[in-house]
Amino acid sequence: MANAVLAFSYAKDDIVTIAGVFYAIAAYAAVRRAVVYARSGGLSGRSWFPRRLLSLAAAWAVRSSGVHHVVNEHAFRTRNRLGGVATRVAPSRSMALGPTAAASDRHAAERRTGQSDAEPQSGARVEVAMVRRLIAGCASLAVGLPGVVLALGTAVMMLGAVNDSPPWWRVDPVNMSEAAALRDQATSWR
Amino acid sequence: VRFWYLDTGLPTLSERASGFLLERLEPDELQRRFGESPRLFYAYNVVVAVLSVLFSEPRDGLFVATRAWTRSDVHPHAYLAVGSSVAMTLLILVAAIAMWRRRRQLERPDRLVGVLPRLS
Repeated sequence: MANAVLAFSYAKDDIVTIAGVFYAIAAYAAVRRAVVYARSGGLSGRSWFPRRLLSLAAAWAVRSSGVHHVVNEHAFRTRNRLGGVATRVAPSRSMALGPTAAASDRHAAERRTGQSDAEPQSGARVEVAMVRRLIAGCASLAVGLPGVVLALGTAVMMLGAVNDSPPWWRVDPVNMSEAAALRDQATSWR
Repeated sequence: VRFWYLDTGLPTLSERASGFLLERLEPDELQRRFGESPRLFYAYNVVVAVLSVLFSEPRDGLFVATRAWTRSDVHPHAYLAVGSSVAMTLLILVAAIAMWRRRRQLERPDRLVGVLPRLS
């Protein structure tokens, strides 16, 4: 809220990014409370609850995966901005940019224009207890499974990055014309 | 740091484009619409910043999903972002209301929920 007020003169999502952290903490507390409530029997007989939780967790897992796409996009922009900074800091082809960059500098400058606890039950209530336990167990699984799958997938892909095949940050080799057409100024500079 | 150490302040209406409802306004248009009384625009910016955290919309001041919906061109990711955010915000709201109604000894996660509106 403080960030939103301090930046009253313009709207920019980056400004309230820190609020996302507190939103995540609140989301954790709310989901935990829902799962605990389910375990206590508060949602006995409501089999839709684990399904809803699974859907919600899966949606956020997919969104989290999308974050990588956004990070990739930002990395691309930042590379290009840094290329522009290098131009302004060393406009006369200094050695900091290297001889190769110096050679292509003139051309690049031209292009720049652009959660089960057991519940004691007996007799006829055993079945009810079983159902409660089942729902509670499913709820925990529904919350955790998508994130675990996402984490494992990310780990596998990161291992791929070690072997020079990063799925999100792959930089295909392009020639100067293709780099210019893609507005890939950083590659042009390199 | 921004206001005292760097002393850069905030950009004025004439310095950058900004989203407003369903359209993106260039500095000239911002000046023309809000130059005389920018308070409405400033209030809008504060409100949309909070809404963007709770509902994923608007983005950078622009109601992107709503605009896409009016054009019958909603990307599936928009449904995912807005749907998951609305559902989670409702869950947080229900949990907060339940916590408030019971008025029992707060557990640590409950206290964290209480922290959200103060710090976000």
